Amino acid sequence: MKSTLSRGAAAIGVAALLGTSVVSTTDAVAQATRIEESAVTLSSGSDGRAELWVRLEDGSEHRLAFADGSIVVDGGAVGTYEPSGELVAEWREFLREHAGAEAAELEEGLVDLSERLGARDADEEDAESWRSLGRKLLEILRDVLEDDAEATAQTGPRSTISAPDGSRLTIAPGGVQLDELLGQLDRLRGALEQLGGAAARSTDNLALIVHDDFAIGGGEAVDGNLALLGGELDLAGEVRGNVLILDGELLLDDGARIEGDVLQVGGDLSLDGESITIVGEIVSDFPATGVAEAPRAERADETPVARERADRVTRGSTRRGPVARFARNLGRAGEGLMGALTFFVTLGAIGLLLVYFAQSRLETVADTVRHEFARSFAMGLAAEVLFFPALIVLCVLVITWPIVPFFVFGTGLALVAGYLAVAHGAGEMFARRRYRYEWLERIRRSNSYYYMLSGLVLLLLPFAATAVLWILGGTAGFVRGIVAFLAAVGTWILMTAGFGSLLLTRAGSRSVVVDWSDAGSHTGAGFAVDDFDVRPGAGGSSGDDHPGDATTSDGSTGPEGEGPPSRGEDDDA
Amino acid sequence: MRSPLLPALALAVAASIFAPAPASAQGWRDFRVARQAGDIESLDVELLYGAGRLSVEPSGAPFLYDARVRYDTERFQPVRAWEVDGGHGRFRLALTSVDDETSSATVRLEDWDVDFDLEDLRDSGNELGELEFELHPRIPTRLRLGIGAARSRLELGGLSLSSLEILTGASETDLAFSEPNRVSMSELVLKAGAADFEAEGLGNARFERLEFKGAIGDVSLDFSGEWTRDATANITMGVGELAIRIPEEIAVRIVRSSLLIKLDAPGFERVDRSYVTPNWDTAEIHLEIELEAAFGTVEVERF
Repeated sequence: MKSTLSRGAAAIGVAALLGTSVVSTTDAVAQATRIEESAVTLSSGSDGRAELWVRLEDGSEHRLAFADGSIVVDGGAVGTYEPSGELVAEWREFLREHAGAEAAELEEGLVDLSERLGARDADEEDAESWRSLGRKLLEILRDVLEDDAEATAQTGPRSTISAPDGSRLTIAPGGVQLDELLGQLDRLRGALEQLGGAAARSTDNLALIVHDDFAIGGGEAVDGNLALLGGELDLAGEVRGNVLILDGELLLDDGARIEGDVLQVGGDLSLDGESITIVGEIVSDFPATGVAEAPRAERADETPVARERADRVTRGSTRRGPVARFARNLGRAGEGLMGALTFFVTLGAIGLLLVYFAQSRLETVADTVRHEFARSFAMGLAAEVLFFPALIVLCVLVITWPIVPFFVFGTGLALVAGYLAVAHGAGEMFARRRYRYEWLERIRRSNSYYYMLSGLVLLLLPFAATAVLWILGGTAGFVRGIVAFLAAVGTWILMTAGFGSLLLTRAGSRSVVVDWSDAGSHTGAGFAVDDFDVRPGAGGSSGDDHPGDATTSDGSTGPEGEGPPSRGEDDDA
Repeated sequence: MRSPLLPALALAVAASIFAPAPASAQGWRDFRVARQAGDIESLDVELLYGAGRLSVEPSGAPFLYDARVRYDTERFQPVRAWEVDGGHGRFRLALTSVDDETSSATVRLEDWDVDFDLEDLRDSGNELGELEFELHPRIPTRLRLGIGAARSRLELGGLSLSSLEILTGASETDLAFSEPNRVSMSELVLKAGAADFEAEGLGNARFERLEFKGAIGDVSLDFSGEWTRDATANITMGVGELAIRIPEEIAVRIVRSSLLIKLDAPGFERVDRSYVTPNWDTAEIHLEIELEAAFGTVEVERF
């Protein structure tokens, strides 16, 4: 990096960052300087003079001397030393090794020395003097180190500048293109706004901006916020503020300490060191990579937890994999369908017997349900409500005990018979409708056996659907629950209505169906419902008919014409 | 006191449902928030996650918490809060909608009117984002999770949970305590909506009282684990199937509070309205279950 930011230009540049003015970067770039000439002075004895003099390419001269217990740099004391201490011994050793050395060798040696000085632990003897000398060396060697900045992270030079508000701000390493710095800081500020809260204001208190490889050694501290705009920042020291990462990589070494938050809007963060302390939060937020092309590798079912669970499955745990779950669901569906089929076969058998032996009564009950559903349901509900009180009465009256089994059995039988009558009615309704689809027209028939079986299919269909929904597993649990609930409630309603109809018709021995359209002439009160069975063909249903081959009155088979076939036409053998 | 999780969860889920679908991957971001334990001695955590994939597990690193969220900026924004009172910390994290209309406080749990299928979630790839949350294993923590329409894998074994509350909406949740909880848990509350809920290793949770409320769905509660104390469980089911697995060495008494439950509990002896295992008088650990259900089947298996 050949271009550097001069102190004056940097100060103006930062002033621009802080909103005071904007400057051109053209004049802010100067050429790097190197050591041109050097000289070493070493007096004998541990308390003698040990001095290094250097002249840089820009003509500036610097003198670093250990004498009489004081460390003097360019005429000013920067610290003290013990005459027999490690510091002066190290300095003298350095001078002995580099006396007469080439400029490049001396530069390299000074860099190494500055690193050793900066890494000195704070609680060691003369530690402050070591660090002071190290800082002076860094200032002198700033331009030299900028040339070497691309090599490895090191305790490099910094450009310390004064902001208009009087605060000190340092850019490290020293050289940087001002316009580039401005752009990066703008990006940082914008990205931090994404995090909201106080994060966006963290750029207002920047104490150090790092834009290239840099190191902050143990014992060093940054008073304020630190922004990493690029490069690799090796942090073993302390940051008394937030660390903002726009790009590059922050390496937290052993003993690193950050008093504030680590706010990361790009780059990388490595927490490999021991005894790292971050008092605040670690917050990062930046665009996800590879979302569209390749979904993130770890889905919820591919996380370590999920994998651990999958392992447990293979070890014989009760947890099930997708195939096992599907097989289980399939089994449940089959189980449910078998249950529905069993009910169909059982009820169907009973229903067919009913049709055979008591078709007329069954039809009467079925017609009553169809035409007087509300009455039938009300009657059935009343009977169900009265069932338990009646049972209690029968139990309390000891003499009626023999009746109790018959009462209970009879009620149960009436409920089943009523349900079958409803099935018969439903099947009849199905058969008498006209359908848009030819296949539906073909499968419908007009006889009581068919009514019974097709009606049972219709009534048991919701239960079969509930069973089939098991195939979808738990995901259809809600729908399955709703269907099951509706099926149960619907069955109860129909069974109650059938039960009521059975009671109303005295087990089908009388008809109570009223055709109100024809009953208009019967205006008087007090008529019996028996008088109003005026449905077509009602007169022919009083006997115990046996069903024939569903031949219509005109000799054709099956329903035809616009209207439904009359009962007499359909069922008379 | 009504749980503040409910309206917040409703908000999050409503946001996830009503918000427009993502147009491109450009709006996806990775958000992470973590904190070292420091001087924190105990912790409250509230986590609200509307839709996507969620995993919770112990942290391997020395973080008090570590949350990694992949989210769509066109629909969500992560919101967090941290408070400290002495050695007690309280952390809250939620994904809220960026749409002001859907983030209205008037959206409530019972206002959900969504046409949402969990299968859609499975097929949506990464579109609904994900949240991976890790907790410090040794800091006593009271954890509350509000999960909307999400697939959740909660591995809470090895944590130090002093209480746990999980509220799920239309979700598929797998909860596991594969290792014993490090501290005693005063209360374990699980509330599931139209959800599939599986809990494994509940014996490791070391709970004193468990409350489960399930509305609709399939629920499996496995009480295996290292039991250290007697416990009670209040289980309420709406419509659905509930499977309960309990180790043989645990003495169990089930009190059934509803006649509409089809209870299948082989190996239990019926005493009045209770079902009791034969080892009730001899076992060291006892579990009393009060069972209520509106309509459904309960299977109890001992192993």
